[in-house]
Amino acid sequence: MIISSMFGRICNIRCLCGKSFSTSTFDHLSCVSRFEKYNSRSINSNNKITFSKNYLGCPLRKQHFDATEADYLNVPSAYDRYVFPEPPELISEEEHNIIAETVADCITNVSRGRLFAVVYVAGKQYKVTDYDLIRTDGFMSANVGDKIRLEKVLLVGGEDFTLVGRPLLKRSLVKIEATVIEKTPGVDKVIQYFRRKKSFEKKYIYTPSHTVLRINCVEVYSNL
Amino acid sequence: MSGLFGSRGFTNKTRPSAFLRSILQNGVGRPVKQLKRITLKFCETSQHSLYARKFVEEHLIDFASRHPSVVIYALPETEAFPQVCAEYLNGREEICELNKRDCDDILKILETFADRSGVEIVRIRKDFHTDIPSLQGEWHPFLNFRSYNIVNKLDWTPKLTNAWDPVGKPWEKCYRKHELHKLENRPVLTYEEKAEKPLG
Repeated sequence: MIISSMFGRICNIRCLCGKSFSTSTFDHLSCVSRFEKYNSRSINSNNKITFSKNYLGCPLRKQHFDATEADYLNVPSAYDRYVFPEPPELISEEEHNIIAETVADCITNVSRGRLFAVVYVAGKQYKVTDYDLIRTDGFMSANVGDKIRLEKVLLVGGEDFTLVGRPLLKRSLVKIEATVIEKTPGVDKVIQYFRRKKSFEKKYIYTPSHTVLRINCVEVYSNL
Repeated sequence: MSGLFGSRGFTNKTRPSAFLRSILQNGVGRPVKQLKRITLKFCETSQHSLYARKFVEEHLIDFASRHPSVVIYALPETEAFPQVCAEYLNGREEICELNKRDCDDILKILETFADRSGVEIVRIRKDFHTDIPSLQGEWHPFLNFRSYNIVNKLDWTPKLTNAWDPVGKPWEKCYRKHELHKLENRPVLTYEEKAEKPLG
């Protein structure tokens, strides 16, 4: 049973073991520990609750007669059963410098080979290397035969290294060039509704449009 | 009902499909326009080829100047329905009838023919094509086998707690320790202090 002593009011308490006594006497030791948790403030400050700055930043309006501030702060929920994974620890500066040097060496090395990248085009992401094809959903304003530079690059890598952007990489670091090969319509999609005996039917044909890009080169410049 | 469509219906499985491709690795070197020839067939006198005649008089020359690599034939025949035939380097032909179309529609049709390659319009299974799918090696489930320690398992046993016991702050586990300090000691402004600051 919880004590609620507002403005110095004395009330009768009934302990869980069955005994009853007034607020002035706390002789029953097994109950005192539980009461202290509820009313640590009230015991110290002459049976008065002080509304200090709590989590919400404003005084609480008590919805239950016997409730205290502590109960509002520590409401359990289903999320408490979930064990959150530990976040990764930071590496030291020495390790960081070593890794940065090795990556810079990999980039400046001419015989590093082919590079791949993750590119954000027309609402979708593609993993891209040299001389491969991409088909986007929708027309681009470029004409057929134009050369384009794809700017939203999320990730670049080779055989020995990868550079991950948060979320994008800088333009001075990466360069991806592509040519527009063709702009086609796609397969018609028939959208048809029918309900029997209700004279309800609709028909709508949707034709998507696509552009096909050929990626010419994926390049990395050393500016680390 | 017999046949593939009768038994299964008009689905993606019964209708033909293909993978993304280009004609002879088109974009690797100089890009080559795939449209070879356009033949416009129409009648000189009848009403159904009125807009076709209008298009030939007004818009055809501009179209030809924009696409200099395309050969255009305009063939007037008596009592011929208006028709456009586009031929590609593939060897494929695409025919479109212009019986009830305006000049603007005819222009759009010709421009789509010019932008396309001769590949048939069919459901394409993948939006990409690569000859080299992996550089760092393909993933297989035994790649990082040694780094996975079975001993460091998460504790899935349910822990019984009382509703009145104080529970720790669960967001502490999501932050690094130097970031927690920043989070807890961030500046809390009053209404008046916020009003003095600029908007945005």
